[in-house]
Amino acid sequence: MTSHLNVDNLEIRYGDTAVEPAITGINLEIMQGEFVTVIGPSGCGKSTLLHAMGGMLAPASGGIYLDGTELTRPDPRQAAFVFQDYSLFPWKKVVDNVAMGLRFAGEDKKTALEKAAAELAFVGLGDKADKYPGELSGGMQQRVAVARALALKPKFLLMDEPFGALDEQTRRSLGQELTKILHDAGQSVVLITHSLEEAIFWADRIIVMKAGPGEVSKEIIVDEPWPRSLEFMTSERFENLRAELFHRIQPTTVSEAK
Amino acid sequence: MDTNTIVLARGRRPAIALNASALARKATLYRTALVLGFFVLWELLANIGAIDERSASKPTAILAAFGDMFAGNAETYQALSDTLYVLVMAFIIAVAIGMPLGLALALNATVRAAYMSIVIYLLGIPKTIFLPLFVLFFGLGNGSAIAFGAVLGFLQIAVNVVAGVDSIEPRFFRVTSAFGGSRWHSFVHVILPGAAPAIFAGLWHGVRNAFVGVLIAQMFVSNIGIGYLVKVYTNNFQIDNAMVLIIISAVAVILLGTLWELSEARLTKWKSTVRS
Amino acid sequence: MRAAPAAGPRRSIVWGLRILFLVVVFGGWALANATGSISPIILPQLSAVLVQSVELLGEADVWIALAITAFEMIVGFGIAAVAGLLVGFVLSRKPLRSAIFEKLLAWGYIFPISLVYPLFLIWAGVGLPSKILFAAASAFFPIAYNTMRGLSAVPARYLKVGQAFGASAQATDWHIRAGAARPMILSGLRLGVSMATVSVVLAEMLGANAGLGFMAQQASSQFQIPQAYAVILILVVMTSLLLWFMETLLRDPNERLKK
Repeated sequence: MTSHLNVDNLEIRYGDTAVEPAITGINLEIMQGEFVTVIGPSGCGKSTLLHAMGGMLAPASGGIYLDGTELTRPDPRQAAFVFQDYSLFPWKKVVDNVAMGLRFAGEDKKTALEKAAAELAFVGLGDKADKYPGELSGGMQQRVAVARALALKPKFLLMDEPFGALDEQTRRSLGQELTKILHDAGQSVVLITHSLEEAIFWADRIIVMKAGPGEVSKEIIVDEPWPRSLEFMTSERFENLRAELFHRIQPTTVSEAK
Repeated sequence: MDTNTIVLARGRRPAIALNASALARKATLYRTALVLGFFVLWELLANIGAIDERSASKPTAILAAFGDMFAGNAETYQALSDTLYVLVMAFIIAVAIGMPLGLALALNATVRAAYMSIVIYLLGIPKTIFLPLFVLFFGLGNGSAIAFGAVLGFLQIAVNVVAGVDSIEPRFFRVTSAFGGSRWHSFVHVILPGAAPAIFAGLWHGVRNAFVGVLIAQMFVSNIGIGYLVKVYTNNFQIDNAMVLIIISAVAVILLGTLWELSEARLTKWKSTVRS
Repeated sequence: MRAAPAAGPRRSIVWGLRILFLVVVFGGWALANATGSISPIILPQLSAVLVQSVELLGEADVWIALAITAFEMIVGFGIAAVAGLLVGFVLSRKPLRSAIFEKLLAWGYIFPISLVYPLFLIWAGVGLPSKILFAAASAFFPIAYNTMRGLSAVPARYLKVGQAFGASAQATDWHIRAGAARPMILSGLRLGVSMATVSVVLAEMLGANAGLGFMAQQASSQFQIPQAYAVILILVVMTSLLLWFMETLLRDPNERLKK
């Protein structure tokens, strides 16, 4: 049976009821094996949505359900999180960082370290196990953060603008490489981004949000077959999708830019 | 004092590292020359009578006194071992009070709101004011010195533990909870290692202040220990002997401080990898 | 990104804990008095101490002693501040100079300087000068060290901005170095204040013929215990006010904004 993550009429508030909710009326269903990207103007609540999906925010109403069970607290074996700022522990070696979630889940040290080493090899950092995070580049640190999440074999991987802090080139090459290995492994992913390119290139489905209050304004299916090549990025289909997304999130984006 | 920045510069920029270490070597050389020059000048001025040898001693006399005091003088060894014992006791008590107090202040918002200002206040005012009370409560002898050293030490340790825990970025707690970590996990995997450098520094300030406290109390009330002997020697115009003990104390503190810095760099190696 | 932002600690509990602390200290004191479990030679009646304090405040001698102690602290600190700032500034001018003296000044600061006070007594006598010199010597090292470090460790990017905007040597010193070093210099001065007060009190207790520290030491060695407590109380209030005043004076404007 394939798993599915349901967002059911979700509303999240940061203040009391007098303040406009951060997100409201969100309904989504994400199937295992699916790649979903979430895009929207700044302040549309996409990050809030993802934190809620990770069980880190209590809903004002509605809820998050995983295979029918409500998710009320972080459960990284169900949905594991990759943070934009990596947030690796600087005092732990890379391999210990990756093993962290497994240790929290009660696995013994030896097994956890073995699994962590395997996961590091999976993201191409098998030789960096004994380094400290501070000794790695930003791109490598984010790979470690991905390995840390994958080590728990989560049903869903939640990525919060994971490449936002990287330079354009690293961002693109790391993005392509990770998409490929995650897709090949059949990993389900929910990815937040503010890059139109990423939103299209990674996605089986794009969720477009609007601000004030944060709501889903449109879902777009991208039925381009995998593996996707760079040619897709220069194709007419891609350009059309890009244009559509651009117009959908443009008004706020432009005013933000000022 | 700020070794971290030095280690950082060395690790990250090899070109400058060479310059920096050349500069450091040169500085060490000049510094040694300067210190030696100071003693030579002292000796000369004392010999020509510009400095009163009776009240300020001179290096050769101190050297001679050093030999005498350690050759056949049980008093010296007794003072040193008494002081060491008192210091160790004071430090143990300081840690036993300062660490739990620091953790409680750092981790519990209510305790902090209620008592942090009191601890900061106590840290700020000169504890020497209360010396006469220490004598009343702990008597003449080791008790007062241990107690006074412990008070000076534990405040430093507690405040440094709080600063260490505060320096941990909130995102690390967020990660811990996102990965299903419990409060215990966040204590063991985040708070302790994250605060370790500051706690380590706090222990050093604790030792140093405990030592200062012990010496002060020994001068003020005690009839044993280095502090007491320095006072007695000075009052008897045996300045050479007093100088020997003063120099031993200075060297001991400086050596301990250097040792602490070196082991800190070793124990918390990760610190040097973090870019600020 | 936390739901239901954790409300601050409950004010009622905080005040409860503070009052509990006072109750334990003063209640314990009163209890010890009442039961006689601590001899009055060690711990006098709380009321006796308060009465004694009020009486003492009516005596001119106490005010003179207070003025002497405060004078020693302020003048000692003042000398250390001038000397420390000057020496720190001169030493910061050349990298080699700072490298040579950085360790020496740090050592001067960690050295348990109280040990040499008996020598100050011999060199400068039992009167005010020995206290003032001793306080100045104690406070000098943190001030000089921090001034030197602050001025010589100005981040290169600030200096680059100055260069890019064509700042003269003086403008660089004044607008960039002094500004960047200010927090560290101020913290050195605050350390200096605290060193000066500690040293003066200690010096007055170890060997003096005037001042509140001397009075406290005299009273306790003559077993006039309530009076010793009262003088100590006055000394605590006086130094607290002095420290508070100096702290306010020497607080970094940026820190004030943050608060």
